[in-house]
Amino acid sequence: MDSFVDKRTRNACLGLIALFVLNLPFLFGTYLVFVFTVICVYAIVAMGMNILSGYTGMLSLGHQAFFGIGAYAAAILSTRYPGFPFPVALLVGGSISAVMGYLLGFSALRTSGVYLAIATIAFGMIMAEVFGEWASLTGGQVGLVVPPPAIGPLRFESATAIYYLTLAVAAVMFFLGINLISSNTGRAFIAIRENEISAQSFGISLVKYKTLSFAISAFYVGVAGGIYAYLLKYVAPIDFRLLVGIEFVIIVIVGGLGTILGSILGAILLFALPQLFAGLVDWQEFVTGLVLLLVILFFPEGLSGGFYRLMDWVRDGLASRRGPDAAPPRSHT
Amino acid sequence: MLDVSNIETHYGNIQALKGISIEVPKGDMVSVLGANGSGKSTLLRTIVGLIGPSRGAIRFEGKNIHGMKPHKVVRLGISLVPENRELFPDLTVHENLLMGAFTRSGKVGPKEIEEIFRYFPILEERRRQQARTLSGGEQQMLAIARALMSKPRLLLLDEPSLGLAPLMVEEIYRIIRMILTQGTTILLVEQNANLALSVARFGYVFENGRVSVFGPSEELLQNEHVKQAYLGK
Amino acid sequence: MGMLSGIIQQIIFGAVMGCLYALVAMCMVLIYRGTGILNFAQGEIVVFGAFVAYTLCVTLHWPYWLVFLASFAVCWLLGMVMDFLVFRRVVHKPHLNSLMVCVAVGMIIRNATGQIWTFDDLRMPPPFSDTVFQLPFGLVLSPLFLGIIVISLAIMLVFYLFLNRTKVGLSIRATSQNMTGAQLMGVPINSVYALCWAISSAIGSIAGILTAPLFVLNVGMFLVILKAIVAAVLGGIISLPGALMGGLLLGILENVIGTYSPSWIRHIFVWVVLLTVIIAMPQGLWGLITRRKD
Repeated sequence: MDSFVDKRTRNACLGLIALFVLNLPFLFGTYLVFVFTVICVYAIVAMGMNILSGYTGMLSLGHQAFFGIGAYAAAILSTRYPGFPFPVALLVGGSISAVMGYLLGFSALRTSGVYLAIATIAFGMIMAEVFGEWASLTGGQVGLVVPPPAIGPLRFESATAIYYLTLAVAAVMFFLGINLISSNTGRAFIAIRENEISAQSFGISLVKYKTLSFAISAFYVGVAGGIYAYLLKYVAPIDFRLLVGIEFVIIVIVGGLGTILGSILGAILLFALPQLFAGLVDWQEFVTGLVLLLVILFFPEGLSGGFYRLMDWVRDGLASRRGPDAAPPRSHT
Repeated sequence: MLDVSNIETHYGNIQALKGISIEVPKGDMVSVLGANGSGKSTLLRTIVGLIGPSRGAIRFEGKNIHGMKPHKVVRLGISLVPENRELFPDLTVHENLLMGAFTRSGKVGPKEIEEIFRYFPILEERRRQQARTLSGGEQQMLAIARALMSKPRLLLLDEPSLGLAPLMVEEIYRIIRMILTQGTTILLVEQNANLALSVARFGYVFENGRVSVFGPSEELLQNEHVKQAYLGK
Repeated sequence: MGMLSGIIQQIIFGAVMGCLYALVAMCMVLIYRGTGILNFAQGEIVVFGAFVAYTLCVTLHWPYWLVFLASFAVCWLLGMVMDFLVFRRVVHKPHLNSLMVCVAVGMIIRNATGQIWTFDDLRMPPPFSDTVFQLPFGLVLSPLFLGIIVISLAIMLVFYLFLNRTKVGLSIRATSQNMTGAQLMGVPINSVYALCWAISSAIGSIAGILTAPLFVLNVGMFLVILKAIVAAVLGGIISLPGALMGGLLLGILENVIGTYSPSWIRHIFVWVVLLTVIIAMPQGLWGLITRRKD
C-alpha cells in the first residue's frame, strides 16, 4: 500500500530532524544554541496557546502574565533558595499559572469571545503592574537576576546544558500535548470550538472544559516562562507587557492554528523575524502586523496549512505518476 | 412580469433548487405550495438576491436580475416579506415603516404613513412602540406594511400565515386581497394550500426543489395528488 | 472645605478626561453596533489623527479651526480605505479573526505613524489657552478644559441627532439591528459599513487633537485611548448614551481615586473596573438602567 511508503518516508524525515536537533550543540556555536533554545521556549508557549485558541477556539491577549508568573517563580525561588531544584521551580510556576488561568477562565465564562479577550487584556495589565510594583517580591522595575538552573549542588551553566534541559522539557510537554489532544478532553475542546451549543447537547460542560483549557494553556506558558528566566538569566517587567501577549497569539495564528507543526513553525518565525530585520529594528512591528493581517485574510491556515498543502501537492504529484491506485489525502492533526 | 427560468440554487453542497421555472403575469397572484424544505423560501430569497443562483435566469419586466444584490433588486420594485419577517426590533413601528420607504426619493411624510395605517389600523395604535413588543400577528402586519411602503410592483410573501391564529390569518389575507386589487403583482409562498389556492390565480407545487404540478388554481384544487398531499382530503 | 474643593477639582479634571474617553468610546460603539467588530485599532487611529494635526498646525501653521477640519477629512478617508482594504472582509467572520485583524491594523498604523513622523515625544500646542483661571472656592479651570468639554459634548450631540433624526442615521441603526432586513429595504450595507468606519475614524481624530495637548504626543499615547474600551464596556458597549456615562464615570473615578491613592492603584484601577464589569454586569450601565441583557 502506498501509505506504507509514506509512513517510512515520514519516519525517516522525523528521524533526521531528531538527529539534527540532538546534535545541535556540536554543529553550531554558543549563540545559535541560544537561539534554538529560545525557539524551544516559544514552541512550548505556542503549544499552550494552541490548546486554548487552536483547539478550544478562545482568544487570550493576557497569557504574557502567565509567562511572567512562571519566570518570576523560577527567579524568586532560585534566588531565595540557592540550589532550588529547577524542575520543581518550573512546576511551581506552571501550577500557579494554571490556578490563575483557571480563575480567569472561570470569571469570563458568561461572556462572549470578544469580552473574554478584553478580560484577558485587563488581567495582563494588572499582572504587569504587579510585576513592576511589588518590589519586595519581584525587584520592581529593575527586576531580578536569575542564577543558573540547579538541582541542589548540581548547576547547569553552559548554553549546551540549558539547551538539552529545555529540549527535554519541550519533549515532555509535547507528548503530554499529543495525549491530551487525542483524549476525550481534547475532543471536548474541539467540539466547543466548532459549536458551543451542539457541544452542550452532547453533555459537554462548558464550564468544566473552558476553564480546563485555560488552566492547561496557562500551565504550558508558565513552564515556558520559567525556562525563559533561566535562559536569559534575568527577569524584568518589560518582558511581560501586552505586546508580548499579542506576539504569543501571532505565533499560533501565523504558524497555523490547531497544529503542532504550526506551533513550531510559528515559534521559529517569531524569533527569525527580528533577526532578519536586524538592520530595520524599527520596522519590526509594522512587518509583524502586516504578516498577521495577510495571514488572517488570505492564508487562514497559516504556515503549517501551507506546508501541508505543499505536501499534499507533492504526494498527489508522486501518486499520479504511480497510477490510479494512489493514496487518498490524509487529515492532519 | 417575473420570469424565472431553470434556476438552480445551492446551499454549500446541498442543492435546494434543481431547475425551477416560474412565470408570474403582471397584476396576477401566483402561489407556490409545498412541504417544508421543498425550496419555496429559497426561491423567493434567490429572486430578491439574498442567495445567488448557480444557474438559470431571472427576468423582471424584461430585465435580467440574475445575481443582482438585494438592495438593487429592491430598487427595481420588488419587495420581499421574509419568513422570519426580519423586522428592526428596537426601532418603533413608525421607524420600521420609514425604513420600508428607504428607496423612495423625496420626503416620506406623515401623509404616506397615514395611508398605510388605513390598511393596518392596529399598527397605528402601536405606532411608537418598539417592534419587538408587538404580538406575532402584529409583527406580520408590520412586515407586510413595511414592504408596501416602497410601493412595490411585485410583492413576494413568504408564509404570511405561519404561526398565526385563524382570525389573524383571515385579516392578513383580507389585506392581501386588497393589495391585489390595487394592482400589485403578488408571488405567494404558503404551506396552507387551501388558503393559497383560494386567492391565487395560478399555483405551482414544489417537491424536493422541483416543480411537480402547476396550473390554474381551479385545476390544482381538483388534482388528485394535490388533494391528497396538500389539501388534506 | 479645602478637602471638598480638592475633590471637586479632581472631579472637574476627571470630567475633562471623561469627555475624551466618552468620545472615543462612542466611536467604538458605532463600529461595534454597525459592523459587529470591536475596533482595537481605535487608539492608533486617534493618535494618527493627532499627528496629522501636529503637522498642519506646527509645521504648516494652519489656523486651528482648519486643522480640525483637515484632520477630520484625512481620517474620514483613512476610515474608508481601511474598511475597503481590510475590515469589509472580516465583517461576517468569527470574532477571533476580526479582533486580531484590528490588532494587526493597529500595529501597522502605530509603526507607520512613528516612521512618518517620529517615535519621540512631541509637544502639541493646545487649541485653546491652557492658562488656568480662578473660580470661586479655590477651583481652577482653563479654556482648554472648557473647550474639550464643550467640543466633546457638542460632537456627541450632533452625532446623536444624526443617528436619530436623519434618514442615513436611521439606516445605520436599522443595519446594526438586522442586516438582512436592511438589505431588503434597499440599504446598500457596504456603504453603511464604510460610513461607520469613516465617521468613527474622523471623530477619533478630533479626540486625538483634544487629548494630545494634555499629555505628550507620542505613538505610545494609544495606551491612553485603550482605556476608552473600558468606558465603552462600562457603558454597555452597544449604547451611545452608555458610552457618555461610562466615559464620564471612568474619567472622574480614575482621577479622584488616583489622586488619593498610591500610583499603582491608579494604574490598575481601570482594568479592575473592566474585569468587574465583565464578570458582574456585562450588560453595562445602560443595560442596568434599561434592565436588558445584551
